[in-house]
Amino acid sequence: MERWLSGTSVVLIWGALNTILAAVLAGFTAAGRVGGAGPAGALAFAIYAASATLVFLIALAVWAGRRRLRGLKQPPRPATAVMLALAVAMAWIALAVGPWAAYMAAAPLLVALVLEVYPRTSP
Amino acid sequence: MTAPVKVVPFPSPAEEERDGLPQWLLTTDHKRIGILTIGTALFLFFLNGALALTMRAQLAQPNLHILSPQAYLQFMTQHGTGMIALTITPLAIGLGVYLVPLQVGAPRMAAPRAALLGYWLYVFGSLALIWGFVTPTGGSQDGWWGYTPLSSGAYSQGEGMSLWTAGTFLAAVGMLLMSATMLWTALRMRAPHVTLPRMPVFTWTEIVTCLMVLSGFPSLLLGLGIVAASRVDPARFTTNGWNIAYQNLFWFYGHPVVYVMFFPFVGCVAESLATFTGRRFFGYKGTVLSLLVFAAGSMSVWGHHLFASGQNVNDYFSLTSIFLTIPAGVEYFGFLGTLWGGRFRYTTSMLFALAFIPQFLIGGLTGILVANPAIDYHVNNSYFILGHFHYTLFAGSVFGFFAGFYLWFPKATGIMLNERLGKLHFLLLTIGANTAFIPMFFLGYDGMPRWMATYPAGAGFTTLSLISSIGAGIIGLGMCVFALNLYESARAKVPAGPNPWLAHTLEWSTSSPPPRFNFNLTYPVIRVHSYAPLLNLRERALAAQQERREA
Amino acid sequence: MPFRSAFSQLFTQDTIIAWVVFGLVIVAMTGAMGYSWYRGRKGMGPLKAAEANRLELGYAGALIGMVVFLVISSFAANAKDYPDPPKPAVTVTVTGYQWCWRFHYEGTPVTSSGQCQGLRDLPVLEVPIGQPVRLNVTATDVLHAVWVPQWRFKLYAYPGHVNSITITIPRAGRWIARCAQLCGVYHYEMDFWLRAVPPATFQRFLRTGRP
Repeated sequence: MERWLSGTSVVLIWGALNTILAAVLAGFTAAGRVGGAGPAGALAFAIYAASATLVFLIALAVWAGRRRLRGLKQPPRPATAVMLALAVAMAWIALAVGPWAAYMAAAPLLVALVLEVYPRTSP
Repeated sequence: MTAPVKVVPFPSPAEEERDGLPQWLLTTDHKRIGILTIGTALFLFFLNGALALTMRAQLAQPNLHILSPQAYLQFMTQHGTGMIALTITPLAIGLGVYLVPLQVGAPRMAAPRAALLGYWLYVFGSLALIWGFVTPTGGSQDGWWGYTPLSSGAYSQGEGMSLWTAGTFLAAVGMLLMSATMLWTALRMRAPHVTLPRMPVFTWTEIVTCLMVLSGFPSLLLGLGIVAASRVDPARFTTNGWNIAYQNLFWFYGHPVVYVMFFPFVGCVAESLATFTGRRFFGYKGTVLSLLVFAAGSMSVWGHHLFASGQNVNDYFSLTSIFLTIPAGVEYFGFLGTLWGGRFRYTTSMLFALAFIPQFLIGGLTGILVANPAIDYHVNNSYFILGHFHYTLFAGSVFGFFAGFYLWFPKATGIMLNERLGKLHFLLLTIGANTAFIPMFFLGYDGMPRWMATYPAGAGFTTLSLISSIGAGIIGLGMCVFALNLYESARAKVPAGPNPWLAHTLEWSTSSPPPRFNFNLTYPVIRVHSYAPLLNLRERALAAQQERREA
Repeated sequence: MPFRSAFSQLFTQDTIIAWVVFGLVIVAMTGAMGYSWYRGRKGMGPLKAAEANRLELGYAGALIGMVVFLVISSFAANAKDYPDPPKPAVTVTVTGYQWCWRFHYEGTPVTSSGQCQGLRDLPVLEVPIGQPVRLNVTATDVLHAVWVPQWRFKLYAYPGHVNSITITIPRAGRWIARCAQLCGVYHYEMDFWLRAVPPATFQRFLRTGRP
């Protein structure tokens, strides 16, 4: 177990299992009754295949990613994250209250940008 | 004789000069992000639970109108979405964000600002959903599935459904970000000697959970995009294609998410059982392998929610759903093997873990029943299904969560929880859950559909519904005891020490609560030789003692 | 009626298996508790063994066997429910809408509906006893689903799509049918009756449009 188990192989096993299962789904869809054939079956397969592909991309990222520890400092400017979250939230709220909320989202986005470009020197 | 440990030079914890609310809310410490997530989720647990109690009050007798049908559907939608997207998923992910870096000997988590962003997206998402209740037309009334075209602008006017779409989307992105950072921490930032097969079972459950989130949640985001489009332009949603597409996209998220709300709690139960039997978790290899197969396979079963749709490859999804029995059975083998030959300590955590085993089993076995299309054609969308998934989610996952909560609360806070109140909490929850959820199987079998705001007298639903409502009340009482326990323990402040339970995994070797970067010169990362490093140390010390005595 | 017989057979079989499994787990747990108490009295510590690979493999083998059996019985039952459809004696288009049902008997001018609010004037779906009836299920606005609990079948109604099911009701009677998909505020009242009558009575109904 020690030998072949690695971060990449864990994700790859996951991807391989899902590829097999998606292939079996394709087989059932081709032979399927109870609504299996037809656009709904093809759609189900497309979703599954897309997800399985995504897993291989994750495996690639894990494989390419380096283990590194950039020291033990606190990451600077955490407020950026909060401002970004606020901006995304306001953009979505526009769906309920009208587009003005999305325009307002520019404000927290701007604050986030300023925080990143002009970091405070003292923590 | 142990090999000399190569200690990574940790700085002594720099004392924070100021440490107040802003420092908490802008934290990049994974422990605090984890605590914030779990705290927020617990608050919402009480809120969404109160909604359920109100609904059960309405259903205690036929033709009651404590709530209007509109209000009932709003409560029900908030209860469902709230519990799944805003409570149990964040509890599952939050536990991992807190524990995984500690268990793998990492000083911090990967990309903590991304995790903080995730937390805030989750908070804003929750606020959006709750906001719906104060809009003129109220919150969403369309159930936690939000099926189109009911959820489109044509059939659900008002801001409620739009806020539901926005909130669910934000919370899902938040969970995605947290999972990605957690996965990266576990796979790429472990201490050098913590190899994968030396990771605790809990960390493994979180790894597979993160993988499910990463492969399943994007599908929900696409689906919610469809709902958002249908809010803006409902005319397009008269064609069948959009509706069936949404159902597939939704369940491609919706089924994996029930396992997201399951595996981390399997991990909690596993750690609790190992700790309180004094045994290494039994059948580790089989369990890890089955976790991988189980979680990967769980991506393939979403269509069993569409058995009655007439537009679904039923046989395939029946096959994959029943197939999951194999890895689930192997996990149960691990549970029972750990129990066999242990020396039990019946702490509150252990009681919750023990109750998890048969109670989740009821959820699992009825799950095999409904994995048969021929059975599902009858019980689908009935109270039978409510009974099934409340057994898995409440009598299973929530019990697993409390097994973990009572286990790790001393680690996270440095103080002990009151065991007496804990046991009362356990007792009330166990009685309440079984009283509330057993009748649901019979109600569904007898023909009661879910989503009913009320029911007529003489339909044969009255007695069982009343019993179920009484059970819900007992659960409510139990949760009050839990709140009292938190208050009482915070007042009594019984110090915990690094390892009050004699547990086995790495997080118990550091202080309670752990220092800013998890380990320091006083509490260095000890050399890890197995998935139960502290048990190794204790056994070695015991053997040395015996040797000395014999000599 | 295949739906009811397939359901009953499979439900009984799988429930028995479930009870046996549940019983075994309870026995194992109780045994482990007793054993723990016994070891405590003898002053023995917890067991050290952490795996039993051959036992586990054998157990997994038994699980696989059980799963194969369960899958085969699931497929067989589903094939009974959806066989190649027999030629129906009558075809009815069942249309769900917010919040009631409408039935159109194909090849005849007969369309019937009713009031879903309150139990007095519920719509009635008339079918002849013992003859295969094809239901074409659809909806006009949002999703609905036809569920007749007594006969153990359920089928979704989609706008812009027709789902078909063939049922054969073996005896005379009247059974409640409910909407089984959340379809809005009055979902809880969206019931109708399924009534099976002798073929002669049914023919009269088709001619006159009155039950």
